[in-house]
Amino acid sequence: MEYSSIQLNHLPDEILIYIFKKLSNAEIVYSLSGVNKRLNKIVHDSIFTNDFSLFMSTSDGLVYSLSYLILYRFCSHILPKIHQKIQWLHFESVSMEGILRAINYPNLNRINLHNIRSKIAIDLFNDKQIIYWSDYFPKEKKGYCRIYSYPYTLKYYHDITNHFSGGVFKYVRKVSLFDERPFQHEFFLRIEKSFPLMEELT
Amino acid sequence: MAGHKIKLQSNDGDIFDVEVEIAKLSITIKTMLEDLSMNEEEIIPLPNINSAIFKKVIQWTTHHKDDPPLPPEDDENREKNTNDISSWDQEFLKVDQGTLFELILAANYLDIKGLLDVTCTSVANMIKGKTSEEIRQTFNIKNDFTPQEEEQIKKENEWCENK
Repeated sequence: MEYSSIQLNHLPDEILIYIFKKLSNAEIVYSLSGVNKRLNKIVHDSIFTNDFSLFMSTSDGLVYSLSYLILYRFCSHILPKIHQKIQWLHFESVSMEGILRAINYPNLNRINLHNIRSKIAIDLFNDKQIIYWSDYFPKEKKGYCRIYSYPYTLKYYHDITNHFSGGVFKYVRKVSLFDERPFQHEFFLRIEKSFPLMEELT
Repeated sequence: MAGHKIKLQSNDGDIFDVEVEIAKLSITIKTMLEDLSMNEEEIIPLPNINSAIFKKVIQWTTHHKDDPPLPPEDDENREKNTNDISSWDQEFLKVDQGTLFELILAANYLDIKGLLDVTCTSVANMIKGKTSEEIRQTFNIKNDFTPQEEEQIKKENEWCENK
């Protein structure tokens, strides 16, 4: 076969985006930020910067911290450049402080914390009104702790369990349920009251 | 009809007899045959693909002709699993970078999602874990930042690249 001179940088934006979507947003920004002007512009777009996972995980769900060097580069150089675009951050307890202290995130509306005690998580938000509950799923062998600042303004509310603490969520249109235990009739009555403008329940 | 063939012509003039069922894995060709009512006796031109790349495309589609259709991509829940390239595809993709990128362009033009998917995953694997300088070296990308911009980026990257 004859040698072809086509290079990565010759591919159209739509294909580069298709390739980059095979990687996590953190992997994309880590590797392609600052390569050249074109790639820099693509990877700093909000599609790659609004939702950021700053941890590593194994195929069986174990979560652990990024290496110190990688985390340092994120906290010192990458997050300060894209902080205004970040709406959702995922991290674990070891790197939590560094990430939260690196910069302000004015548009952050959701955080997923892994490997963290619920007491510590609640203390993080002790100056705010919060919606909080925690669950443990024996089959998955995983615990989940949910904390939302109040008032809840998102249009969706995912993975509600039997431990749902109630309240009225007038902005929510889409609701999804998840639990290893079956939901009882009374639970659905509570859901109906809590989401008066719900359009979709799955 | 199984075994029935159509003629497809690459942009360098070569004509390929390809089984209809294999050719129809390309949504572009399927559309030409069905929606545009192209006669199966006609030679269908493929102006964006040379014969070397088209041979590779036929090799891939022939091997994958019985694969189930890929599920639609769900952006919100998309899996970031870049390890799931079959051993046959890994062997198939042992080509130079130029050929790999030509295959991506061909898969995109012909609208063969499975081929586009596996070739793009292969490139994603080449990107994974590399620093910006390693990316430039791997893909022969010129740094087009101004000296001032470059100095700033260098300062940002030197700490981790000197590790």
